[in-house]
Amino acid sequence: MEGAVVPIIVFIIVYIAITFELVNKAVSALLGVMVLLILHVVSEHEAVALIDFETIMLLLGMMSIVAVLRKSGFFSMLSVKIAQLTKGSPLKILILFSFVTAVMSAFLDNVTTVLIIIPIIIELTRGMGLDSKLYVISQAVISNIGGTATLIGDPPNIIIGSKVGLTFNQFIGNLIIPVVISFVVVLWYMWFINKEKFKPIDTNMAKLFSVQLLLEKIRVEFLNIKIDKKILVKGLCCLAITILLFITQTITKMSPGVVAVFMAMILFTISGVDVEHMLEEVEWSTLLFFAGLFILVGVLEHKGVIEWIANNIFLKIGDNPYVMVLTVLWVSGIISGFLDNIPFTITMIPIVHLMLAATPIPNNILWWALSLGACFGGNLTMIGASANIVSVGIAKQSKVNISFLEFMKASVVITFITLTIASVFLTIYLWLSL
Amino acid sequence: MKKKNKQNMYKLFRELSDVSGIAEMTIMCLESFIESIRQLKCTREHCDPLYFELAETVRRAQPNIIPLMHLLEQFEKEMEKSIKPEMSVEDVGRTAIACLQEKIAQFKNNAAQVTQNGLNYINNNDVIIVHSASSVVTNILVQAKEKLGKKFSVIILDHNPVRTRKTVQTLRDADVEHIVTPAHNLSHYIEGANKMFVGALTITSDRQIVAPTGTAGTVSLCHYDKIVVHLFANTLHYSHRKATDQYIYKAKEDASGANLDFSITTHSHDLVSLDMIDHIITESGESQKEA
Repeated sequence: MEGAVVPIIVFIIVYIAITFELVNKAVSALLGVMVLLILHVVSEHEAVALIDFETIMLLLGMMSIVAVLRKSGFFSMLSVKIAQLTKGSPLKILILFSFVTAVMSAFLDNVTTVLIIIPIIIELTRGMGLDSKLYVISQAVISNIGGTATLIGDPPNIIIGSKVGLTFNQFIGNLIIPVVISFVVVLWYMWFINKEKFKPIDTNMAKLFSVQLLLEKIRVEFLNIKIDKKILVKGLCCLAITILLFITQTITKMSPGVVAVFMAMILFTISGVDVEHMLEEVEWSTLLFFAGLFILVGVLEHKGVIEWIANNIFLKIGDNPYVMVLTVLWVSGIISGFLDNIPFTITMIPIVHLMLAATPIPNNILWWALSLGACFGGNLTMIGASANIVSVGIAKQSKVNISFLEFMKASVVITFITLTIASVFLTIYLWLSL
Repeated sequence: MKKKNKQNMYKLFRELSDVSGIAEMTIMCLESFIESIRQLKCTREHCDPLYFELAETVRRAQPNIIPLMHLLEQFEKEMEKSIKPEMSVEDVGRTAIACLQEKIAQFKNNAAQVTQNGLNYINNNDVIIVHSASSVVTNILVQAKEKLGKKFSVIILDHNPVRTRKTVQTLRDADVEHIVTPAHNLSHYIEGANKMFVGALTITSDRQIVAPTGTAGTVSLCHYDKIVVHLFANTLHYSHRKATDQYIYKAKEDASGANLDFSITTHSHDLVSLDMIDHIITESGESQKEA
């Protein structure tokens, strides 16, 4: 581990800055990279070579497609329709919005999903005199669960898929079962512990009347932008083709990153949108954050730090595949709850590679353990996943204040439930595979 | 009904009237009443008291929504006559829904008539100022362009972003020439304008109109600069009570700035003297201010 002290110190400082949001995430990561460049720990060319452009391209492409769809008014229209379908029933609000959040999170990014869903769910529940906090937390948690199902659903999956070369179909085929079971069980648990709050309102004339008015207000407020049908149709077609190309990845031999950017550029061309404006919608800070982290972790890997962690921590647990899988799952789950799961996943990938080199485990089960752990674990605390931070932030803007402990009070049991479901699933899967 | 539920409902009324205007809100309220009757699960003995309780609560909204108040008073009277003890829950519900649908038709008919009469007040080359345009005002502007092919332009005074967007969208769809400026910037445009169109929540017995906040300042400036102010409202907006009895909602909010904490008191609506209005157009045509 010669020359590893500086990158380790830089990495720890950056990690602390990211976790406690001391500085903007992208700035923290790039500042760390700049320190390494100035101190000649790594050269500019070596640093650029460490960036996983496949991940960056996938994120850039999907963000661009989402930006065009958002401009078309599709998301507002969808959420208003769902709000109207609930007819103000507290239980229907939970189930229908959760379903939409889970599906949207699986095919779009979680942050976009909660940015769309949370404002409308707060408006609806607060107007009805319901406990908005419960619904905000539920949607944040569900977005992380739904996002776990696909390659493009959650940043840890994008990173794993891209770095390891796992396909869209492999993700959905292997993770859909634990995700669907977790979704159903979590909803049931939320209903069970809050039964009183989900009582129907159809015997209360005043509430029925207020709900109807509220739905009208939501329609007026959230559908105040004109739905651009041409852009909407083109956007949805491009999204459908993108997903189709992800599914047929093994036939077309096109990587998800190439597919996403290619379809985004096609959409920009045919939709006639103001490209400059659309590019402003892309979260460049997130892309820079990813690029910076890839360099920081890449340097640690080159200096042998990752190998040292793998040998002295993860490989010490022995070569029992059940123990290895469950260790990766629970360690990822717990650490992702307290640290951002994106840098954690980037750090864990070379470690899991070394573990697999020492003890091969069939059917990529160790990667699924990392994915389930990092994604489900993000639910443990308010800072565990970007969707949680954004949800709580939007709620705060609407004067619904959710404290760290309030979030954790609801999310700890949910995380335990989902990680237990994942443990049972992985154990059975491993037993069938060995 | 619990006080908290009432307060929530009244807050919703105020928010809706801010973004949709009073005419649209009146229809929304009546339609919501119908939908809640459809969804309500109750026994025969409870059903009409529940309808009457809701009607009374809505009538007492803060501020009073005069058109809705009049229509619900009519509804209550008609229901008292129509409901018989031997009727089933379904029959009572059907009677109530039919009655409310009739009220919606009555209100829409009045509004359509005001719109029709309003078309006579737009001429070619007019430059019309609108502030918190009601649906009646926007309908007049749209129909003058689409049906009569009049060439005029509109200055939209931005006061509420949602409402401004809605007005812009409607005028843009109808290809009505328009510009948008903040309400407080009107002085820069006043010389180019020749008319102002305004709607109202209520016309009170002491010759005041209750209108969205900001209307009073705009109307005053127009009046001072000899811009002709037109008020479009059907007679359901007329109240037999004074402005002080309209329960205009007053809220006090904490604010701070430059290390100084203070509270701001805001009223949900403005009061404008009828003396500053030049023409009042109702479903029966131009009405005299003194009437």
